[in-house]
Amino acid sequence: MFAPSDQYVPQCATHEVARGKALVVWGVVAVGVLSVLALVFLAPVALAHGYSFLALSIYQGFRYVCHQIPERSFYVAGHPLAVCARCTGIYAGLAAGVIIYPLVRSIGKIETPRREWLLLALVPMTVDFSLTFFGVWQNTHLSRFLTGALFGSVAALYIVPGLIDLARMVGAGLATRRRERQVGA
Amino acid sequence: MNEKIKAVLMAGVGLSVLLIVTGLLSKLLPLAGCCNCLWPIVAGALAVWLYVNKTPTPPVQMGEGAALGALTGLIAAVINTVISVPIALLNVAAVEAQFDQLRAQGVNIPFSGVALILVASVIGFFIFVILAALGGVIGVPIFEKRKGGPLPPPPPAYGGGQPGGGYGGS
Repeated sequence: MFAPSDQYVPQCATHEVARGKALVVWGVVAVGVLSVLALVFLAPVALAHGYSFLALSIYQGFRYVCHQIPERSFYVAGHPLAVCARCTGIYAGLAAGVIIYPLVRSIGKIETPRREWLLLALVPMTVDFSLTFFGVWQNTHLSRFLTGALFGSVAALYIVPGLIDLARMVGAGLATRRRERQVGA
Repeated sequence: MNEKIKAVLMAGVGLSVLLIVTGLLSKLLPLAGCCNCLWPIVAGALAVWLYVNKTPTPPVQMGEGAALGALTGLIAAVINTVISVPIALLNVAAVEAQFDQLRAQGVNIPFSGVALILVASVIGFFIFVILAALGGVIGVPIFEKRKGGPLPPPPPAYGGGQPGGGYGGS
């Protein structure tokens, strides 16, 4: 029993994704992350320039995921950013990590670094928060931003390969469905 | 029920409850909302943990983690929207009062609080899904300890040739 050669399916699974496809996914992720970061900065700028509906929509939208306490936020154009200093750090670090990703790792590989690195990146943020929470030390905008940025940039090393793998899965699913349709026709 | 759906539902509902609780607490204690940006990420990772514990083989892939996280965020966003938007619409007077404060500061606001609540809920919806998907991706390397690559694709359905037919075809 032989299937026609044009229906051959490679049976050897690899951990590599075609570089071109991976670059497209990386590009989409980079644009997405930069857009979210841009929204954070757009809110105060838009408010300062009279685009109040746009600004307040962004502020309200980010309210679900940030306390937005003005004293704990950076100010631009006389208004606080849409998220606090720590969240700004996380988004900025994530954006930076995604952008430099192809320079530090092979874009086609979907293996991630060891999980210990991610947990280690969480430690400074946890210490910074805990010291203030227990009244040992009052953290600053800079410490909140930097610890958040460290976590965000390390998280990018896990997020980019994950999303490239998701695209691979979706692509493989679509290809299988197409093949099944061709066989059925 | 499918294990994926179970994991996603549990994490999604858990996230919504957590956000509602921290939302209520933040009225008394502003710092209660300090980790709100991490909760969707944690929920996405939690969905992966629940799924990893329920699937004997094969190892959960990064892409599956992203999908689990995104679905978790979607469920939490739907629940949050269904609960918070009607409450916000009932309290639209409070939003209008904030508008009055901003107008007093010289900010021009030529729109109603209802429109703002609806548009903001859409923006919040997308942010939720994105953050939870990221949590799902991060959850795989943390919780999936089993080794192994992605499964090979299934062979195509048999679609040609005759039984017993050889290379010659006759």
